[in-house]
Amino acid sequence: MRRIASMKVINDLLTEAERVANRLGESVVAPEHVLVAAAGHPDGAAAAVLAASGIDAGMVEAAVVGVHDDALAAVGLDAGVASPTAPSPGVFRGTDAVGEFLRSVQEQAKAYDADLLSSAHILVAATLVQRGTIARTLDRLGLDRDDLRRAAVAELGARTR
Amino acid sequence: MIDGMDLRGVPAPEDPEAALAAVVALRRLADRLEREAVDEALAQGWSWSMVAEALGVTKQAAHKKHARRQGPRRDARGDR
Repeated sequence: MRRIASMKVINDLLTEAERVANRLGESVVAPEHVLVAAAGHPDGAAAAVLAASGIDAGMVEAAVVGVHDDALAAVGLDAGVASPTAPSPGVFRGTDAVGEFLRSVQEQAKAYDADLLSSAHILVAATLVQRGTIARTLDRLGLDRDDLRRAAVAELGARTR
Repeated sequence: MIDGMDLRGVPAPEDPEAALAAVVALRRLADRLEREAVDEALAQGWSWSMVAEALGVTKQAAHKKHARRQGPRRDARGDR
C-alpha cells in the first residue's frame, strides 16, 4: 500500500470528521463522525456505494443525530438542536474508539490488498461494527450491513481495475 | 442551549443495547452541557477556581479540559 498517500487520506478524513463533530456540537471525534466524513470524501468511493441506496453524506449525518435523539427520548429527554462547537486549537481530540476503528479500516485495506486507502474501506469497516452508534446509524438508514459490505467491496474492485 | 429536560426513567436492564445507547447519548449531552455552562460562567466573570469548585474537580483539571477553547486572551487572564 502507498503509505504516504494513504496517510493523507486518513488525515483528510480525520480533519473532516473533526468538522462534523464540531458541527454536531461535540468536541471529541468519534467513529461515526469518520463515517460521515467518508460518505462525503472527495474520492467518491463511499459516496458512490451509498448513492446506490439513495443515501448521501447529509443523510448519514442526520441519522447519527437521530440515533442520539432517539436514545435520549427513551429516557424522556429532548436535547434540542446542538449549537456548533468552535474547533479546539491544538492537537486532534478523538475517542479511543476512533483509533480502534481506523486500525480496523487499515486491516480491511490490507485484506483486500489495496494499493491506496479509500473511503470505501471505511464503509467496509463500518459494516463490521455490530453494536453502538455506527451500527445504529446504518440500521436507521435501512442499510443491511452484509449488502453494504458487498457493494463497498465491489466498488473497491471496480476502482482497481 | 439545552432545554426540555424531563427524565422519565431509564431503559429496562433487560435491554442492555438500549440502555447503553442511552448512556452514550447522555454522556454526549453532559459533555455539551458542561462546555456550554463553563463558557457561560467564564463569560460572566467566574474564575477557574469557581468553575472547578462547581464541577467538583481541581482547578488544574477544569483548566486543562476547557482552557484551550477559550483562546489566548482568556487563558492569559489566569485565575481571576
